[in-house]
Amino acid sequence: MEKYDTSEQPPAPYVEVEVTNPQTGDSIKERGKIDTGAFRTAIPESWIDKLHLIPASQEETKGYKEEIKKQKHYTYFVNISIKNKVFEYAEVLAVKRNSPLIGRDILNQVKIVLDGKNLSFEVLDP
Amino acid sequence: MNMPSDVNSPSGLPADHFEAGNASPNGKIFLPIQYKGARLFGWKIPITPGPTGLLPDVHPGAPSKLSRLPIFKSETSNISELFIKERDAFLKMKDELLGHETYQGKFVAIYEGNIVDFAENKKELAKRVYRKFGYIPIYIGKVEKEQVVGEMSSPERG
Repeated sequence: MEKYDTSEQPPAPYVEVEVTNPQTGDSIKERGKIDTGAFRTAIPESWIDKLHLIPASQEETKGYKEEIKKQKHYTYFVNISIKNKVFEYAEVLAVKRNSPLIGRDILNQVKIVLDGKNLSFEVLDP
Repeated sequence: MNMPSDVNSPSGLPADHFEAGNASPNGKIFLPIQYKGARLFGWKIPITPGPTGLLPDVHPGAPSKLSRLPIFKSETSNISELFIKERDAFLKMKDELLGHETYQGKFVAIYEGNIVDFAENKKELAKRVYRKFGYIPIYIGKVEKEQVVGEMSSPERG
């Protein structure tokens, strides 16, 4: 079991991820937040240049409030590695954040146990 | 042509460690590429000949050999402009495509304003077109009446 990150309040589950450009091999390792509210995994915009990514498509997203304006984001194909499991050619959004969000596109391919009471979690490949 | 010193090769060595056209330790060849006015830098990745000994077929509308090289480093603004052109071409032809059973509900890949490939699976289509044309701006869009809006619903503290 891994521990929630208590520097965020309330504490949240973060997992080590490696995002790789499948074309060039450039990669970045960072902790990403497990976010079941996100329909798709998102990476920080600042990584686009670092990973030499080229957009493949564009998607529209909306936030948690109706009044938040819909936003258009470019999407990119990357390889995402979590716990030695590689998700090849995962389509991700680029957003204004410092760390990745692991969305349901990835989360729905693994088994996750969230033990909020003990602030611990486990990512399993069923 | 000068190569910028801030370009790092996949082997971790700076690009200017290599001369254009010389093989890097990992067997790839670094080449500067001029692509539609954009300054791009790519690694020439060996293409494996098919059983006939010939290189894989390329769509008639495909770019020249040089521009098919996978892009390694780019000037983002130029990439963005090229990508937007492909996206706009898709949006222009979308209504027409909706009338064709072949494309309805499928993903199409747009390059140089034309459909170069299509498939039901976006990931497989992306893999295929990048393999065929190189890592260059290609727009992949779904032929559907209304685009689905995805929810990124988690509020966070500022």
